[in-house]
Amino acid sequence: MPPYAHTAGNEGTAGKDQEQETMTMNRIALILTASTLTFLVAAISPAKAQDPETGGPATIQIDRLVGLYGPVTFDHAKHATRYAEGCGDCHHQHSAYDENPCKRCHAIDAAQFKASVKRNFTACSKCHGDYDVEAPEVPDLKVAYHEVCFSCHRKIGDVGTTPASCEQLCHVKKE
Amino acid sequence: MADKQTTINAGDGDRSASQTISRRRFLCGTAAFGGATLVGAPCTAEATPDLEGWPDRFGMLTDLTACVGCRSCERACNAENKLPAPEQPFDDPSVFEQTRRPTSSAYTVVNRYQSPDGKGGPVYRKLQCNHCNEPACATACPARAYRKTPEGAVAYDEDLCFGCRYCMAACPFNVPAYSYESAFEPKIVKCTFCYPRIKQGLIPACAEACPAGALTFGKRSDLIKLARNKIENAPDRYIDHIYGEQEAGGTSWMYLSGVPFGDVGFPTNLGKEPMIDHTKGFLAAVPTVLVVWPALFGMAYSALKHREEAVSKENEKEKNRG
Repeated sequence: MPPYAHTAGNEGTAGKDQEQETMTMNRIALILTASTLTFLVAAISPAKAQDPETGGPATIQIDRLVGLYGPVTFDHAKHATRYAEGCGDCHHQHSAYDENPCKRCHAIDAAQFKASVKRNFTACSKCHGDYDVEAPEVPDLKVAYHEVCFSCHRKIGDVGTTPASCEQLCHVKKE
Repeated sequence: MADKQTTINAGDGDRSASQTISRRRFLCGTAAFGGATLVGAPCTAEATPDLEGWPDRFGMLTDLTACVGCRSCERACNAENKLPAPEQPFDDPSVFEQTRRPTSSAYTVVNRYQSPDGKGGPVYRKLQCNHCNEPACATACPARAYRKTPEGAVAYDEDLCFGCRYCMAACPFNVPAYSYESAFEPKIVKCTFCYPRIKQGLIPACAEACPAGALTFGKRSDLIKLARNKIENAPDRYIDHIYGEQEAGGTSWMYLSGVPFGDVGFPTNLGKEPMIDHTKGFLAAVPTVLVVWPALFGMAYSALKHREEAVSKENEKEKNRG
């Protein structure tokens, strides 16, 4: 039972309470939304310069899964302008999955993205978090990242031909 | 010694430590088995009860088209099982110059094959115990050191093993390795499917480490559906076959490949029947031929001989009378 719920015998002040409660709820909702958005923005582009051409971040430091290797500095601007034909080349269309309504808020389209208020996609980790044995078709974050990169990089340099290639383009091994 | 305890637990989580086998117990077991064959008890596979009762057992799907040969799985397996450090570091590609097999210090190995058409890049194949639905090692083991668990792992208990190595001969995938480190404590080593981790609700270390999505752990039934979907969605990428779905009666560990399985070292002559089915008829006949027949023929022979003797004695009596 929430602390602000009415109890019997308080009928007279119910209307006022209701109003106050609605205001409190609105405030909580506002704070929650703001903090969520701040978190999302921070997770994707932690106060980095924006790429004027795409509206996306210029570079991204991918450091959520640091272990054997150090963080990866990903040149988002270069990939977005030189290699990809659209955001959807890497940010997959959530509409592919009927049960996932992400596309309602996050259309994978550069124009809409630029026009959107917050200019950010849903963080990959929201769906691709820890691996769930019950949903083997959803890769975890590490696999999701690599699958996106490998979709092009397996054909570039030695990636996918020798273990040493991990350090050729992306990773710096920790000593 | 701590390592040994871990292996025991890996082999059999619910068996108490007091159940270590002694020479007397083993001989008793052997005598009981001999007795059973005398009365012609039917030969059943002890380690493989009705598998339909375990629909939620786990499996692994290896996607050979996704593997990049980084050997993260080997590294994770080594750390998880506290195995000795390898002679060459895990990022040394020179190991691919030879075709390796699992050893007592590496429960899993990744081998490299050249693409059969010569056009594509190299193909990597991870090799480890396939955790068969009806394991040949378990049926071959005279000491019941192997056990198919409801979770899908084929568990091995080194305390029951007396080192005959029948499992090594029986395995159609050439997986169990023998540890020659101690002459008095024989030990077979093979992938445990990270059974202790599964029991804790974790996934096997190799699957957790794989960055490329080449190893997917899940319920075997879910993985078969996932594999079918993958083939359907990318028919150009995959051979239309899930290796291990039916091979040798089916295995927990299954594979998808873009090149014919035979070209990357998979045995393709196993058929769909479990290994035990190839020997069941013969094994069932062994007690009959070696025990029942000699007994029957022996009795018939001695009866005939007795009769002959009786007849000849009577003849002699008659002669003496005459």
